[in-house]
Amino acid sequence: MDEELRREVMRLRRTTRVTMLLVLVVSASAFWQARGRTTFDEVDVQRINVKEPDGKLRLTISNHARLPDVVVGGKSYPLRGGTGVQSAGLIFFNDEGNEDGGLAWAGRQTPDGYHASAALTFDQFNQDETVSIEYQDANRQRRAGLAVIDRSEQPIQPFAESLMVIRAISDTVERNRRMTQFRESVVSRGAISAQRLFAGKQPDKSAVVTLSDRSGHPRLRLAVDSLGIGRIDFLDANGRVTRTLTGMDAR
Amino acid sequence: MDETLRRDVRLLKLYALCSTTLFLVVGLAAFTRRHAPTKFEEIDVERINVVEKDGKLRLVISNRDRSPGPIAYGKPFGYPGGSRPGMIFFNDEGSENGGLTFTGKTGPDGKYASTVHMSFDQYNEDQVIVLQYTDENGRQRKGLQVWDRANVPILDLVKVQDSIQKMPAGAAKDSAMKRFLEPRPGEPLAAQRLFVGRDPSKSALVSLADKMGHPRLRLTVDSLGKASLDFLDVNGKVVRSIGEQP
Repeated sequence: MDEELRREVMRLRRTTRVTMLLVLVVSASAFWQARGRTTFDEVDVQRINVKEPDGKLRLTISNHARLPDVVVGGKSYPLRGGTGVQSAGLIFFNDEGNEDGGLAWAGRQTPDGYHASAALTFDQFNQDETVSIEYQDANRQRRAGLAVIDRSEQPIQPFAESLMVIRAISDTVERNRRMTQFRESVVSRGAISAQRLFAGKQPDKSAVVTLSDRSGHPRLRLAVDSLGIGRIDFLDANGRVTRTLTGMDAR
Repeated sequence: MDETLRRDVRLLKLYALCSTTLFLVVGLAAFTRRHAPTKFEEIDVERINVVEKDGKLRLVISNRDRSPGPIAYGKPFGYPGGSRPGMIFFNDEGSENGGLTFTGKTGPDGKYASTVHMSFDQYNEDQVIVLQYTDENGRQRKGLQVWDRANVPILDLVKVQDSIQKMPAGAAKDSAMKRFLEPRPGEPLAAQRLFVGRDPSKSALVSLADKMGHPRLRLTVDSLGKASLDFLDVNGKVVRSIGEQP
């Protein structure tokens, strides 16, 4: 009896040694694999984060549910929501981990029709988009083309902070009043943006190339309108056409 | 003797306890891992599907072989996949709405063909913004295009096209196809409204077109460096040209 027990124990000891070795080998190889590159045929994901070695975000590729919040000045601001547009796509981040562009798209039926959009945008440093290629469509009201935009020299972070404070106000009347006040103060500080160039099509079904001054007023406009009439307009700062060239003029 | 046996058993019991605990921890960790991001230094992959929680596709990143064909409302249509390496975008409803693709290779005849392309589609329709470089062995067209598309869902168009293609060859089929390609009342299936770029004749140009896709206003610097600004009529005839000389 005792002899049998002893043999049993000896066998168990041997087994233990073998399984322990096995565990070591398996976990070591698991760690080894995790260190190098991993190969997949196909993966389903909701989000991929491309990061620098120090953990700083450089790119997210995600569905709408996991689209990251706006990151400016190293801080996240949940300001993307509220428009009802459920974009998915790529968000770019600069060396400092702040958002500096993206490639995003959306489109679906809405209670009153549909909304669809897609855009590739590049942001001015610590500001908003300065180059964009964009398609916007709400119930056949379509705008599509390339835009180049001047942005304020002031960083966008204080703007985001103020917006967060105003959005948190529960009283609707007060919130709207503060929002109007805020917009006016932005304009009076001269922190406005100005579209300098647009090449594309507009909701009035014209195809245009528009060049604008530093305040965003169109000053030279090439257009073919919805009736097929081509014209070139020079405009003053108030939007008045001062000279027009058309195909009808004397040669 | 009995003493060593007892010690061995105690050791084994300890080992059993430790390994069971370890097993539980690892097992639990495997389950909770699902909620935290998994880290890789680098991955090699033939295809990545970015999906919403309900499984709806939002983006496919893939090599050529695994690239998808057109998909609307989650269902494939048109032609099979395998020809579009890069990224294909899908809207909130699982319908394709754009892409970013890149191809280029030299054929057995020594000639090359290369295309890099990004496009955004009109809702339930085809491309309305195209940023593209195409190159057929040196014959290049590159730039930004903006298109109008008919207000007809692409699935309806594909259905009609498929039914025409199934008709027996002959006059009836030809006229049906001609009718299919003709403009609907006041609205062609597709019309390029704007091109900014460089065309195969090596001209740099800005071209604005009417709703039928006919260029009506064109700024050009041609391959010889000659600059002109042309107004055109609906037939493509230049009705007014403004050149370098007054």
